[in-house]
Amino acid sequence: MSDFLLIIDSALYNAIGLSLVTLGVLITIRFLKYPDLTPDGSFTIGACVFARAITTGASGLGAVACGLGAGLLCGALTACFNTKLRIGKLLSSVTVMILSVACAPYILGCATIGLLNRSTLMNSLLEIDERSTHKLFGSGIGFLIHPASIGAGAFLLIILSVALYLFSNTRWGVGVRYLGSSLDSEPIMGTAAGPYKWLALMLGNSLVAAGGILCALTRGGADQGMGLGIVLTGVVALIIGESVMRLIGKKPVLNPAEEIAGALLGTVAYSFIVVIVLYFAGRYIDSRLLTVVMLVLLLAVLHRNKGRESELF
Amino acid sequence: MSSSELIDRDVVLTTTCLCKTYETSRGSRIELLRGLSFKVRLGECVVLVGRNGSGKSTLLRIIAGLESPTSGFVRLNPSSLDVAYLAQGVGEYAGRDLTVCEQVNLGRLRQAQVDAPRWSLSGPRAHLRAANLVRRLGMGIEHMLDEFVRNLSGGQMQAVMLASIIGATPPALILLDEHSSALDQVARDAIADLLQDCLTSRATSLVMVTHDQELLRRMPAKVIELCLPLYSFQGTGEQFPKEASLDA
Repeated sequence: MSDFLLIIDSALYNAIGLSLVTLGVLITIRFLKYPDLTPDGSFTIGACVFARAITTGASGLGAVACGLGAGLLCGALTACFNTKLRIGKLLSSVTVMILSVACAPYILGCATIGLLNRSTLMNSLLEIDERSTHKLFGSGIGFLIHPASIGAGAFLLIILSVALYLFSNTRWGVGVRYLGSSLDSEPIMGTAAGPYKWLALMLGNSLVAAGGILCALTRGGADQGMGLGIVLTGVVALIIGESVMRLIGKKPVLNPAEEIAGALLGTVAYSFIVVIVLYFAGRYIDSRLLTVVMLVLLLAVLHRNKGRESELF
Repeated sequence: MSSSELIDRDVVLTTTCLCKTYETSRGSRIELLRGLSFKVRLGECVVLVGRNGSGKSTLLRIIAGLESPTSGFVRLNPSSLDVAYLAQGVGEYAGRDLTVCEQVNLGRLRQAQVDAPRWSLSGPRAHLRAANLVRRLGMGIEHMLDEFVRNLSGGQMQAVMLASIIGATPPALILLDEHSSALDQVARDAIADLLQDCLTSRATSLVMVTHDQELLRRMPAKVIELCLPLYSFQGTGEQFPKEASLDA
């Protein structure tokens, strides 16, 4: 019973931070259809800037703002490289990703920063979680469940998802989706496409940075390698969610509301798969390796009847 | 104020000594437009005709600012003139994952349209606006507003993009590149009426490429025929490319 509860708790607890990453990837890779690998860097830099700000005495809110700003800057740099310096989409994002990861040790000042025993909102939530666990199972048991943290995270995700849905229907949001869904937007947009790219990349990468901040809080620290492969996690979650939503709706193209719901659903499903596999075979496989295996298997199944190579994934 | 100044204020587009030169892969040069100069006045319709490869689409792209001429210049009056351009190959630049309602309301992205909704492009007000805009095209697609653009036929896509760029307040200059090639006769007539209305309001001018003889008969237009490109080549006789390979 306790193992079953632990699996559910761990999966939902991990899914909160990852959902922010998937929503960010949804904006850049799905809406804008930009092969954006920046998230590996913006996730790391968001967490590192946040952790450094907290340890240097900044308030919790100020530190979160700094972390989000760092993600925003990563997205802006990618957009700048692409629209101003005319560097190709893929190369511009890879450059910023490497740049961010290379900067992370300088921001941290050491290899890792711990956040345990620091006064943050997360620690207050963890105290409530601890009290709830003791109330439910009595004191002296060897595990902790997180009802308060998961509830607060779910509330935050609902607000963000509604905001993202409203944004995707505005003129700017539809402009971003137009840019992604047309093969050649030049006749209609001309040089006006630039601001839409900037907006989507900045917004997407600040959401990923928010995921990095949450991850630093839940893990109790930030390190320079924590974002490695995070973009693949977002992509896998997105593919799982889209596939499920397509099966439910029985249609090949999803509207923004279905895409957002699919992203959240896919992240929860991904998180459950990872937790269950690691629970039973954690000695033989790690989460990154599992993510790659899942991605390859998913794409092989989804593309088995396709006549030609896909645009993005 | 002299009468010539008054006339010039009426001119929205002036092209002067335009020339566009391309290098082919075999080293020869193709000279398009060859010093073309013309003026378009407010409320005037100019039709570009000519053989395939004579530079009609290139001329429209130059006017739209998507390509630069090799020599000569294009002047818009005023320089911030609201220009809408509908290119060939509508499937390439239609927003395939948008709904018809969103695509129509998105409109011309270069200049913001005052009447276009900003906060919700698929809400009730946006639906009403899109239905009114597509109804004028006589395609019967006003009941398909929630359909994805990718599911439309080529002709329907063409009509949706036309409704999108013309909008409720037509732009000052419309550039159309074979806008009716995939449309049936009923839709062609409806669109010809719509364009005629735009012209009679004298707030819009039109430059279009068309092979539609019926449209040419219906609309009073200034016709400009573009000559076939001039080829120039420097090299030996053996290297001289066959004419068939020089088609632009």
